[in-house]
Amino acid sequence: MTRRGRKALDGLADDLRDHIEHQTEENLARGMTPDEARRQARLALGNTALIEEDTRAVWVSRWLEDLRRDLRYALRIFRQSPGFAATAVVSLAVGIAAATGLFSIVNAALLNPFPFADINRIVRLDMIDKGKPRALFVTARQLVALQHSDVLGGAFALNTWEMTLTGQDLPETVHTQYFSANGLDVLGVPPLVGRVFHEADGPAGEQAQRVVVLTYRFWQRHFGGRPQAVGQTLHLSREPYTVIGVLPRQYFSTGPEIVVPIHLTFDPKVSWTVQARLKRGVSPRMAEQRLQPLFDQFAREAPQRFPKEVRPLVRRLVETRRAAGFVPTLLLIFAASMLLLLLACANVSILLLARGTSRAHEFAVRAAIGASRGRLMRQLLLESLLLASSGAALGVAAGYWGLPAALRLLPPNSVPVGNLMAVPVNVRVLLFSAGLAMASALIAGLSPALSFSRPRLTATARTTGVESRRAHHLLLAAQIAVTVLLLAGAGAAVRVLIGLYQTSLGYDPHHVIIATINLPENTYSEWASRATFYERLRDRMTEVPQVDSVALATYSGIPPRSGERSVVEVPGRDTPGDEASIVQRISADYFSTMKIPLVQGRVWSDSESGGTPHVAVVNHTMARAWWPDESAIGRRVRMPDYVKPPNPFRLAAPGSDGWFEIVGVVGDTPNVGLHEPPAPSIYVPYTLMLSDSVNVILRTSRDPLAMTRSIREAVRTVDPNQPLSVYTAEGALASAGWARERFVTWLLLGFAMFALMLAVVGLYSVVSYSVSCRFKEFGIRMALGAGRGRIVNAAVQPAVLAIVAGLFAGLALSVGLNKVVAQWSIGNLNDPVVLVAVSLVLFVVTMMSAAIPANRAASIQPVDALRID
Amino acid sequence: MSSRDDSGRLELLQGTLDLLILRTLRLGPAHGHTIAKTIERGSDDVLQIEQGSLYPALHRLIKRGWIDFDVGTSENNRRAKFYRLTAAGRRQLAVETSKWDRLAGAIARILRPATAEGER
Repeated sequence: MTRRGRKALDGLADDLRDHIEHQTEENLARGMTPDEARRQARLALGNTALIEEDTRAVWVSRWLEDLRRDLRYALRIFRQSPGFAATAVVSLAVGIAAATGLFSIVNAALLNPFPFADINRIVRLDMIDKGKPRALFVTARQLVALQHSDVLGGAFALNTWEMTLTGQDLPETVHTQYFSANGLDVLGVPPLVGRVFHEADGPAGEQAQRVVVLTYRFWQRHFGGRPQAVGQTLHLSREPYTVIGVLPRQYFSTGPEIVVPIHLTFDPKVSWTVQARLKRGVSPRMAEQRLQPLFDQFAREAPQRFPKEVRPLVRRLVETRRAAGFVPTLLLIFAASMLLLLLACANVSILLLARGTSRAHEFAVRAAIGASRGRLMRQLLLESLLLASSGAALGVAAGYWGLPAALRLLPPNSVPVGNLMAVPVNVRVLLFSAGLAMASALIAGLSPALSFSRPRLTATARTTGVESRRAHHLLLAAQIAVTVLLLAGAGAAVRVLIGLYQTSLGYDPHHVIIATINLPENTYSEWASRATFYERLRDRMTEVPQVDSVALATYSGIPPRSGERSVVEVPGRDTPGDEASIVQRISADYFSTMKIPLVQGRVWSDSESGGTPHVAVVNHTMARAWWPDESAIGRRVRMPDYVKPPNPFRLAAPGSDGWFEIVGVVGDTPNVGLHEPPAPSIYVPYTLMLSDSVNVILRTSRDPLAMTRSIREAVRTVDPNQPLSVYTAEGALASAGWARERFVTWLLLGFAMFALMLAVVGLYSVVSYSVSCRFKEFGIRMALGAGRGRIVNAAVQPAVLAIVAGLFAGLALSVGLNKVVAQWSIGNLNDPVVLVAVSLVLFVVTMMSAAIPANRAASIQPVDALRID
Repeated sequence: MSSRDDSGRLELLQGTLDLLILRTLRLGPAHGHTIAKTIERGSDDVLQIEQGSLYPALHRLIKRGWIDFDVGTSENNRRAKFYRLTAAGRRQLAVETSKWDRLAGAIARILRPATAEGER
């Protein structure tokens, strides 16, 4: 209402009372008694409440008034048929939730994977050696040189490791992000509470301050989000660290729990990976050119760590981490979710159409008594908008809060996208969802509104006779076609997954459990003490009941991705292949514990593992690739890294000379993931190079997970301050090997099932409505002697046509799209087994959903049908 | 709508009330009750105003900007609204009056064709 209106209406009751008084005076003047005068004056004016209402109505827009009435009417309609309304709302909600949820994933993975400011200027520095990318590690002095480069606005070293938090009931492993002290400033990470560390907290060459910045998660878990956390002391790896600040929620929301400054020692043996921020206006290519002289200098100064013809490689952080190969698949799934949303809209359209048919009578009557076409159309649009907005509200809510919650329930690593939780709600997702909701309302509402806002008066007012239902059947056929496509996609993905499960692994992951123990810094830092510690761990584990055998491995040994790339040389010849071989450092009983078959020769014995020449076992792939025509047994290879460890965290055995004699060949196991054939791999005794991380591998005689507790107990008896993580070989296989396939398969399966459900609901409602519309016709036909079969046939026939047409269209679509989709998706849409299975499932399910209401048509009592109207 | 049945008095045609209000206010600002009385008396009590419809009509005219009102004090010392014609209302009155004249003339010609024919 306008301000003018409010002003005019102000004192309206007084105006009316005043009017009555005037009239009363006039009546008195005419000689009436006071009572009569007042009574007559009241009568002359009429009902004041009514007048007030009429006067107010002058100021209220007619349009709004009508809208209110339509809305009330729509709500009443929905209350009358709650099943219809619920189906429509839920269809849309699931469709929108799927699309919104996936958009959040796409957004997190592709559009905005890092929360850092001006992320496109953050780069990773690496190098190119003979045309191949190679990881770059720089010393503190080299880092300082990089920091002075005129193309970099800041370069920082980084590393991740585990620290042990003590001073509480049980020691706890804390995933730690190490940054050189300038790192957080270069990334532009502000503190939420307290402060972050700066350059001055750990300048190059000096011991860094013992300060720690907490992530939001760690802060919540350990300090309940209390700001008093700042200033407290944490005992990390047996050193006291002062908490100086907390980071906002979006930073490091997965992975690291705390951030500490690196001690940038000038020790040339210690090196780190580097990231940097490009200066404004500097492209990665330009930076590579300008960094070339610096890299040449590095190569001259440290020829053992840099190749002669080194070239810098500068890549945007976003590009290196964008879940690389997964992007097209993700987009494909996203497209599938959009298809699903389209299906949901189509379904609501079908529901509205079917209802429109049964409401044709109502609309004809309303039109006959003067409702304009616009009015009826608005009524229908309003109804669909109401459905859509409720569906959208539900769907958006589910997409936002439901999906992340659901993802959190999944086992770790089952979603092959990093940093998923970093951006839970943002404007882009909100706008996208709102747009989708509006579009769905229009799509779902418009077609029925168009076809039923001009009811043919004469035809429909007389009878609810045979209305053209072609539109439903077209929509149904389209819906079924898309359902077939989704089912085929899901079927193909399932087949790939089954295939992966059936792949011969070369080892037996069942009943194998692994305890990974990462040594805190500065513990067991002599070879002998570390060797003894590992030895004691193994001995103690063998005493645990139900443990059949125990093996040790360091940084290796756990398929499907295991071992480290390292240079292996054969004297007097080039080694085949482009890449360095994979080295696995294990104990001799590893093969028997993992049940990896010995193909040839023998495995070393415990007494041999420290002696010279050192012994080694190679996998079948290496034996075949390197010595194709002869036996690998007895060959000698040299591994330069085993003379001098590449970093101080590894301890080489005394007397290690880098020469190995091959004594056996074992079967292949996956070592670079399940999607690639095994790479050439060499197994050497772990004692020759003791890392700061050890995997204790146990084969058990019962459910391995049930033994977690006794394994932890066993480790505690050896070293009470030593944290560990425990997982099964099957778990490792699933998370590292199958995560992507499993994710894609489950999503597509879910989509396909939902699509099928939508098709069932659509079919069921269309056939039901058509039966109810033709109730009288069927009654007459039965009265005239038509059998049950004929009636069922008549009721179901148009639906069957739609099903068959949709099925074939869907099959054609699948085969046609296969070429386009195959290069990104997993599986083959052309697979005849899948297509036949999909067709069968679809046909049976849809026929059933059409047959149930059709069957009802056959049980019509002719008398009842004739009595109607 | 009227509960009274005074024969000899006529009910207003729809839309005419607006015109009469405008015409009344041309004489000067007036109080609601005065407007009703002025119209009735001006027609020698032939026209019967449905007093209840007066107020919605006044507000309709305010909304269209043809009349406005001032809050003043009535004779009995009460706060009351005095309605007055605006410039737009004055123009509208001219338009409506000429429309009405044409309409009344046309209706009169249809209702009394006999006189014209009889003269022939």
